[in-house]
Parts: sequence; C-alpha cells; structure tokens
Amino acid sequence: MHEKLKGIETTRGQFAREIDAVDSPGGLEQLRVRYLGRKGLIANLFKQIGGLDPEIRGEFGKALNAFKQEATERVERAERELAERETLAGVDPTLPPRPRNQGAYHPLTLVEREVKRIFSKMGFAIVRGPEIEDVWHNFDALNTPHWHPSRDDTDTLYIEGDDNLLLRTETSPVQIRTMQRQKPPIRIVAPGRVFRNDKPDPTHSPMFTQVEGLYVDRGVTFADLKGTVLQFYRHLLGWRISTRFRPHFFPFTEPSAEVDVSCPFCAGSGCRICKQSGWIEVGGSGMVDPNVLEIVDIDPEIYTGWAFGLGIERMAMLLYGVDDIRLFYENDIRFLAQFGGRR
Amino acid sequence: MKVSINWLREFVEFDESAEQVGDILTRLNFECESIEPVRRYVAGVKVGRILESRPHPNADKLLLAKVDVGGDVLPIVCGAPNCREGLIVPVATPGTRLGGFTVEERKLRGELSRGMILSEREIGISDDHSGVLELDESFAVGRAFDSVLPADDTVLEFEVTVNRPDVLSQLGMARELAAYWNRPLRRPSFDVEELPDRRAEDEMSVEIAAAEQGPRYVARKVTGVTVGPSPLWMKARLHSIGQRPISNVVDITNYLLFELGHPLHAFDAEHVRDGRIIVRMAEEGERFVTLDDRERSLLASDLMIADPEKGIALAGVMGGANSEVSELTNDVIIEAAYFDPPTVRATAKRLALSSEASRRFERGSDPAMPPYAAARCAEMYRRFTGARVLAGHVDAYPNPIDPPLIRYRPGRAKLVLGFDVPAGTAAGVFRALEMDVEEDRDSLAVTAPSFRPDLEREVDLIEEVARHVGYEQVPVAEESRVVLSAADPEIERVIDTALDTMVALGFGEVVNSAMTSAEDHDAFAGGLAPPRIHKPINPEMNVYRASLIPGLLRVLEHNVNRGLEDVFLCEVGQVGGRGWFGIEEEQRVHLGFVAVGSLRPPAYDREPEMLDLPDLKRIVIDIARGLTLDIPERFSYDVPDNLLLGISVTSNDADSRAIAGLLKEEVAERFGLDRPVYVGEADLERWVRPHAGDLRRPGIIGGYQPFSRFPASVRDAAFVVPFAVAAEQVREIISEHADELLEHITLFDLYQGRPLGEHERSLAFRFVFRAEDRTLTDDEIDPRLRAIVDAVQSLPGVRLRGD
Repeated sequence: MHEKLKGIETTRGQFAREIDAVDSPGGLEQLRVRYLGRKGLIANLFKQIGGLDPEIRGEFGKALNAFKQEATERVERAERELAERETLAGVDPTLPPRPRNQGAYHPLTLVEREVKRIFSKMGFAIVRGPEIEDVWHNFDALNTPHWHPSRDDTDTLYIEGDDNLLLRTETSPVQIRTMQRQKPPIRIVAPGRVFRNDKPDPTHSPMFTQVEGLYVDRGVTFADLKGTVLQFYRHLLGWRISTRFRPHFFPFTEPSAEVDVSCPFCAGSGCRICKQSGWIEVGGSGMVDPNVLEIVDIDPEIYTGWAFGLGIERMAMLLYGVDDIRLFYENDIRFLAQFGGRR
Repeated sequence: MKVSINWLREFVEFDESAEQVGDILTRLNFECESIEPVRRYVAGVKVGRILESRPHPNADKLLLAKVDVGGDVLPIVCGAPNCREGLIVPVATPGTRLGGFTVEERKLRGELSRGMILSEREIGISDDHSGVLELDESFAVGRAFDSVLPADDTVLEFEVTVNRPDVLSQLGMARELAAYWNRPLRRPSFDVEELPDRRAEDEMSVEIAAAEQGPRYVARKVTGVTVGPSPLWMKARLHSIGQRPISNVVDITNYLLFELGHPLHAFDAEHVRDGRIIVRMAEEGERFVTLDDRERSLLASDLMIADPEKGIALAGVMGGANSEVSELTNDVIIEAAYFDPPTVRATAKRLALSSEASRRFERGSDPAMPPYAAARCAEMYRRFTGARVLAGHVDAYPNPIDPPLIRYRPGRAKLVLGFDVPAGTAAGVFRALEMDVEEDRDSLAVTAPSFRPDLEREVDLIEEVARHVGYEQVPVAEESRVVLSAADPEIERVIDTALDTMVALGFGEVVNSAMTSAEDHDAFAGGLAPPRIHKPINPEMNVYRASLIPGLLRVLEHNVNRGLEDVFLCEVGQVGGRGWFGIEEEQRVHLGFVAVGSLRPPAYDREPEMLDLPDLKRIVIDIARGLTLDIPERFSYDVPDNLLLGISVTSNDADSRAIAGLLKEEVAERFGLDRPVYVGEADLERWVRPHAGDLRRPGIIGGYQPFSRFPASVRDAAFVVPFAVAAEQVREIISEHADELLEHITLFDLYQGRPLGEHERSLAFRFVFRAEDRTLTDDEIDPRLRAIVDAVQSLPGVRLRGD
C-alpha cells in the first residue's frame, strides 16, 4: 500500500479508538472538532491531495471521502446514543408492574358459560326459570309420585305461608315451562341454581347449580341422547372421553340413565379422582316420560324426547381440582383470584 | 341394600366374581356402592368339649380348662365367665390365624395354654363378646369348623331406587342376575311338615274390615316354640349384611325379610283374643303402645291389626307391646300380609317409625307372596325353634289384585330407543323377569309380575328391554339432525354482558347462597320483605334474598377481615320479594356490587385513587353502555336512607332501575366494615324491559353516526361557583344556551382553595365547537361563547374566573 494511503488508515484507526472512548457530549464535541472541524485532521488530509501523484490521487480521494462520511455518521450516532443514555438515567426497566384491580369470573360462571357455549353450538337455546317455583311445575308436572320422598320438607325447602311455593329442587321445571309455551321441535338448555335441604359439607351444598338439556321432536331416540351427551362431554373434557349409560330411576324419564364419563385424568385406567373405577358419574338423563309430555299437551305417540342434566359444581370440582364444594360460596378472594380474568 | 354372595348362590348358580356381580347389577340399575370381604376365622378351629374348668391359681378372672378337641386334650387358659365343664365350644388350636394375630402355645400367668376358646365375635359371626360360643350336641367333637361355616363371603351394597321394592331382597337381586345370565332362578323350595290333627282355620280367623287399606292377610300358627339362639349359619348371614342376631323367633322373620323381601310379623297367640284377627282402621284418638314401649295416638287413617278387644299391631309399621313374642311364648301366629303402600307410608312418616318392614310395605310388597312367605316362616319355626306347625293357613283376600296387562309394540320401542329389538328378544327378557307373555301378530301382551309395582305402561317395558339388552347396545347417533333453535331470550345476553362489564372494570364475581338471613336484610335496609323459608336449614338461611347486597357485604367483610384493602365484588342473581327499590315482583334478575378501597391501587411510586361517587357514575354508565341502553343524561340524587349519598337511574315510568352510593357508616358497621363502602344494585330485567327488542347483539354496541371531517375550535373558561350551585346546574345552563355548533363540553379542572372564598370552587370547562360542513371562524365562535359565559354568570354568585 502506498505510504500516503497508510496515513489515512492510521488516522482512521485512531478515530475509531477515540470515539469508542467518548462518554460525554463535551468530549464528543472536542473529538468532532479535532477530526471534522474546518482545521481538523480530515481537512488537513484533503489538503494533501494536490501534491499527490496523479496515479494514486484518485484512490486517495476515494478513501478519504469514505473516511469522512464514516466519521460523520459515527459522530451522529454517538450523539444519539449519548442523548438516549441521558434520558434513561434513573430509569429502571426491571421495576415490577404496578397493580390494578383485576376482575375475575367466578369458576362456576366459567364452567356454566362453557357448557352454554357447547350446547349453543349444537343448536340449543338457553332459557331460565324462576328459583321460587310452584309445586305443580317442580313435582306434579314432572310425574313425581305423591309419596316420593323428595316432596318432603326434609328434602325440599318451602316458602313460609304458602305450601304451594318452594325453592326449586331441579332445573327440570324449566322443561315444563318451556313445553307449555312452545311446541316441538324444542331444543333448550336451562342453567340455574337449585336448592335442597342438605347440611353443607365438603360434597353437599344446600344451593348448587344445574344445567338441564331437553330435546323433543318427532323421532328423537335414546340413540340421539347418547350421541349428544357424548359430543357434549368430548367438547368439555376432551376427545378421548367415552361415556357409559347406567339404568336408574327418575320420575320424569323412562328409560332413565345415569351418565358416567371415562376418567379424563387417568384415561380410564383408575386413579384417586375416579376412585380407581375409571369412571366418573357426571349426570342424569333419560327419555322424557310420556306422562310428562301428556301433561303439557304434547302427544307422546307422535313426539319423543330426551332430557339430560348435570351439576356445574361437580364439573368445576373435577376441572379445577377443587375438593370442597363450600369453597365456591365462601367467595374468599384468595380462591376466586385463582381463576383470573379468564372467560 | 346389602347382598351376600354366598346367599345369592342359593338362588342362582354362578362362578362370576363379586366384582362382576357388582358390575352387572350396576348396569341393571342398582349401583354398587361397596364390595366388602367378610372374613370368618374358621380354618384351624375345631369343635371341642370342656372336660374340666377350674380357677387359675394366679389370676382372679381367668380359668384353666381342659378341652377335648377329638384325640388331643388341650390345656387352655380362658377368661370367659361362661366357660364351664361339659360345654361344646369352638377352639382355635395353635397356629390358627384370628384377625390380626396367630394363636400360639404360651404361658399365661405361669400356666400353659395351648389354644383359645372363641366367642362369636372372634369367629366373626356377630359382635357378641360376652362369653365363649356355646354349641349344641349336633356339633361332633373334633370336627373342623370350616365344614360348619364357610370361611369367606363377600357382601355388596347397592343403591336401590325407590321404584324397585322387589330387589330389596337376596331373591330379588338373584332374579335380576338370573335373567341377565339367562339361568334358572331357584326359589327356596320346601315342604311344611304340618300337624295332621290340628288345623289353623279351626283355631283362628281373619276378618278384613278395611279391604282397601289392608287387601290381603295370611295367618299361620305354630305351637310349642322354644326361644333360644338361632343356628350359627343364620347368625352369620344376618351379621354379614349388618343385622344383629337376637333370638331364633325374631331372627327367622328378619332372615326372611332379607331373603324374600317380604316383612313378616310374629304374635304371641295367647294374647290374640280368641285367635280372631281383625284388619280395621284405628279409631280417631285410639291409644296404642308399640313394641318400643311408647304410647302412640292414632288417627282414623291408620291401619290397625286387632283382635276383638284391642289393637295388636300398627299394620306394616310396628307390632304392639301387648302381643310381643317373649321367653314365655308357646304358640305363635305368623302374619304375612299385603298393605296399601300410601297407608303404611302416611303412618310411618307421621310417627317417624321407619323400619326395614315399613320401607318395603310403603314401596309396594308383593301381594302374591303372603301364603308362600308364611309357609316358609312356619317351616323355619318348626326346624329352628322346635315348634310344630298347624295344618294350613287362613287367607283373607277379598279383592284379588290383578297385575296389569300391557301391550308392547316393538315399533314403539324402536321409536324410543333408536334401534330395533326383535320381538323375540324382548319376549325373552320379559319371561326371564317372570312376566307372562303372549305373542300377538305385531305386539306382545305382557302381564306384569305381582312383585313389580313399577310396571304399568308400555314405556316401562321398553325400559326393561333396554336395561337387560344393555344401554351399551343402544347405538350412539353420530349426527344429530340440526334444528334451528329459537334465539336465546334477551335476559341471557343481559346477564352475560353486565357481568363482562363488571369484570372488565376490575370487579371479581362471587356466587352467594340465595338463602340468607332476615337479620342481614334488616341490617342493610329498612322495608325489605324477603320471602321466608319454612323450616330453614339454619337461621343464617331463613329467607330467600330480596337484595344481593347483604350477601355481598358479608363476603366483603370476610375478605376485608383477611387484610385485603381494595375489594371490588359483584354478583348476578335472582332475587324475590320486596327489595331495595320498593318493587314487589315475584322474581327478577339483579346485578349487585360492593366496593372498598381504591379504583387504582397504590404502587411503589403512586398514591391510591380512592373510589368516590363520580367513579360510581362511571361504573353505572359503563354497565348501561354494555347493555346498549341509553346512557343516563342525568342522575337522580334521591336515594334510600341507608346511603349517605348516591345516585339512582330512573326511566319513564319512574321506578328506579339502578341505585349506587356510599353506605352510611352505621350500616357498614353492622357488617363489620370500618371504612367507606360503596354499593350498587341494578334490576337488570326491569332496566332492560322498556328497551326490549332494541337490544343489539353483545359485542355490537352502538351504531354509526357520520362525523365531521372539519377541525374543531377549542375554548376554555373557568367559573368561580359557590357550593350552593351544583356542577350539574352549570352544565345544564350551558346546554340550554348552546346550539348545535357546540359539539362537546368537558369539566377539565376543579379547584378549591386560595385565593377563592371558603365556600367556593373553580370549575373549568373546555368547549369544543365544530361544524359539519366548514371550518368555524372566530366570528362565529366568540358570540356563542360569550352568550354561554353570560348565562352561567347569571347563576347566583357565579363569576368568570380571572375577571
């Protein structure tokens, strides 16, 4: 390399070292004047161009221009960096986030909404009914025999001063109210609170939440019930779930069935949650009893239907691992906050 | 209902395990709740005779016995008081395992003991541990005990639904299994060995005076009863299903109750006057002392078993003390009857006398069973009490009950179940369950058995088919037909949307019991009238809530007591009765909220912003906006007197729809809260109802209004306003004196203090002027602003600040 070109390289290396060491706006200004000022080192180098051999003059000029541009840019960048450093002085990005009041849905609402969402997908309308119900809707119309123990005031809470009013014991009276209002096809799901004369303990609560599904139309069969219930639980608990229907007795359905799902926690192989059985009881169901249809003027020879009900608390206990139903009604924020603002 | 595997095997043959039996019965409607092994300690136990028994030289309470166990004579130290010479007893020889330990040869207080004489409890056939078990001469000395009693059994407990009294017995459960396996059911078969020369009908009679309540009554008589212990196997069986053996005469009827499911009663024949049994209604007010020695006052609706002089039993519920079988009894009259279920139920319930017997009668026993049950009972008395049986029985059955004839159409079954069950399969199920079946051309004529009161209609038979074919055989419909459902009612969206708003605002949702206390309602507000609950679970749950706030305040108290500072809670739920708004409607959906602390909590570099009334207004407006209701133009400040100050939102028919405000201190204190508490409640249904139909879908809030593309002109003006003039008055007078060019006004600054007077504050407003079609000029704006400023200054004591 030509000696003159080496001179540019030397100055350039010196500039690079110095600008890296600059740590204040004043120092930077001095550096800028020393290299880029009118009488600075770069200006001096330009002055040498005239005395150079023509054969290297072009190369020298090109190198010097590149150096000048680079120096200018480095100085500007250093200026910005110094200014930013100034702005950030005393700012600590590792400070914790500030608190704010975090809204949260109650876990029972989260599960109820999920259940509603799934049934909505399947074409069910959501309906509600009164919590204070009359005896006819709650028992008589549901084909409950007069001697059935559920009618006793040891099981059911009645309103004082009116034997005919009670706190509903199931969401099933909503079936009756719907069928009185509307004729088939009917596809509804009714969520709501229900009441029983039970002392609170880890698995019982005098108030709890049920969701009841009802489907009445021509040609609705037990097979439809099984299909819909299976789809529902697959949406809720995952696709590997299977269901099992066991005979049972409910006054308002015939045949009646209790519904088990294969334990979602151990995939049916047996664990603590399913008490080693591989199955978990999750709901009641059955074909609507012809007596019930007759009561609401729906001809059971033409129409058939199924009904299905599940307890929201039980689902929530399973899904969230809650081991005491009373936690849902204690409403301790340390409990509620665990469910965050998720919907 | 407890079932013993060994017992079941008497009625149906099977090799299946207890687990399989539990599983099958579960699938047939009877949920298996537990499977427990029954262990009896009989291996290594022999029958022995005590040859000699004398006091232990070194212990007061011990005896030294010499026991012949067939060949060997063993010295045994025994502590039982009844250990005496000549007794035949079970003996555990060394090496025998008994529960947790092994019997070994050892010295007791210096004397060698080579075995143990056993009590009933040690063998595992009862809880009796009062002495060693005394056997009779039929037990040959030296015989191994495991040939006397089976070592093992398994007991399963099932939940039986109320419609199936027929399976409240070993036989009933066996019938279900036999039908499931398609194997024969073996009813207990026996011949009654009767006295040739004494006939029951010569010595007693039955007269039915209440045929509706007491349709059938069969009586048998046995003579020469000796009361004593029941045979070992019977004790063991009763013990295995949780029953306590008492004596042969009692145990036999009890045993048959669990075997056949049919309750029986034994009277001391001596106390049945003239052997005449009358089934009649009680006299109103008739006094009767039951077996438990309590005197009962009866009603004319109670069914009585009587003799010509007196009542002797409350039919189906409990016997009378006056005719009870005792040690002195010689002759016994056995009752096997069918009573009307509602009659038994009413009496048992009223007198709170629920028993295994009443449980079966009130659900419906088998009206065909009495002659058979009475005969079996009499024969067992003969065999196990030494009695002899009079020939024949007396059977009063004036109006025989015919089981219903039900038509079963296979096509109908398919319509309900969703798959075809061949008529032959259905007929097979019915016959296996002991129904009579006649096949017509396209249907079956089925006669229900007398023991199945639950079978009345075709659909009941369809259920039987489904149950026995198996619910798992019902196909799973893969594609349900899509039906367009009706739209959800408006309230559903209102509830979800209101809750979404609250959660977005930082409120945590709670769920409270709708049953709460009247006291809390009164503590919260005067004039609430929540519906009262008859026989509440506890005093804290004696009303159905008329307002959500009392419950919310309790939750607030709970959380504040745990040291939380900023607690914002809300609930959506039904209420009833007369509530806070004075509205009395049966039921409605409310939104309630309570809050303490700061809306924006403090941080390391920031002071808290404590919640106050203007924040509350924002909350109410946000709720309304979420519901796409009109945002209130102005609030009413007329609020119930439990609030120190607050707002209410009213609409055209002047009922309050929402109230919110600051609770008076004394009210907050009643809920243990010592700081400012804000509360609010909205009647969502009534608030929304006038707008029903206007509600848009949630998530699609509001609608498009064209907006001006021209720039705005902004002017500020501050006024010094005395406290007596409300900010809202200033706002209103501004609105009155503005035209459509004033797009927007905002109160942007509020100042109190020097140099202003003591009862004054400065309110600074920002005025935004804009036209739709042009840029406004100062010439257009200035006179408008001046007119507004002049109007505001016309309010008493108000002046423009800076003048």
